[in-house]
Amino acid sequence: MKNKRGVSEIIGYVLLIAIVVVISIFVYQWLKSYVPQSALTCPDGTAVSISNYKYNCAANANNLSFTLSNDGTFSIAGYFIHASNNSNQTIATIDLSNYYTGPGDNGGGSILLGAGNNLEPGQDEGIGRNTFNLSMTPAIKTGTLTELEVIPIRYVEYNGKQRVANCGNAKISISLSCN
Amino acid sequence: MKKKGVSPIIATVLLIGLVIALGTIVFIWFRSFTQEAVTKFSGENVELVCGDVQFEASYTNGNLAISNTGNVPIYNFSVKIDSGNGQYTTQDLNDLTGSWPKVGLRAGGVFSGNVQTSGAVQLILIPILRGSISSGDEKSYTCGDRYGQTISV
Repeated sequence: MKNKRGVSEIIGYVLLIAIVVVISIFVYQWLKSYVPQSALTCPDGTAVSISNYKYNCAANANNLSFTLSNDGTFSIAGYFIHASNNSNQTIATIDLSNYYTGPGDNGGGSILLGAGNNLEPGQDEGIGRNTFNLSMTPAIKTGTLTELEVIPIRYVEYNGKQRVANCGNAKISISLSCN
Repeated sequence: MKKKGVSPIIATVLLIGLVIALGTIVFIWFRSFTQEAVTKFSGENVELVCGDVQFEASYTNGNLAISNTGNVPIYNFSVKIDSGNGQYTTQDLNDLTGSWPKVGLRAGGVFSGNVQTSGAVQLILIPILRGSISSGDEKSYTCGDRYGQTISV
């Protein structure tokens, strides 16, 4: 019998390939959220230190000032600053950004030292900058502070935008005493 | 002998249609076993974001202190309270304390609040993140136990 009828092979191939492509699109849509993306991180080598602090805890004064130095290899944009008034508590939870009186911004709970990563490695931001009036509002009294924690922040490019990265690994703590 | 049967073209179309229909049924059935993906940031599944969460916590004299030292906002915590005899109870932190911020703890944020846990020997804090689902609504996701942090009471 010579007259065999059937689907053309080309049509068969096209159909099969089309089905595979459609199925792969479904699988891709389902799995694409599981593709890991790079996280927003602060580069290793970011480091700061505090020196020359002056903490006056008298009832009619109650202010704090210090020099912040960039000891790392990357410039920073600012910092988060927290304090503790309980020597038994290992984590500082009083947000001192509410008491900031230095120039510049306290935005979103952080102290920004300008519009970008302005504190270059090896530079200091002195007493005139990092000043905090602990008597001002909000009215929640801080009490006598026993510890200070500073976490530097830095602008990094993430997904095509400049985002503020919290450099938690570069956190520093110092014990405070009235002077 | 005249053999009757379906035309090969029709048979092929029927077979392909049957395969597509069966595949769709299997796909819909399989989807019922998987949760709707909750994504965060630029479409990354929230399960992967749990690994980027960093925080510190301590418990002293009834006061729980938490510091978000990472770059992932933490919406809430699931607190497993270990009573020491193999028994656990689980509650969300915003139910244990009235002072947990409604929007959660942003990157760099700190929290201090009174949490009473009578009889507990340790607490396990497991972060809860907030992300988006395909409809655009927000949904919470509790990270796995391995992302929790144990603190002594």
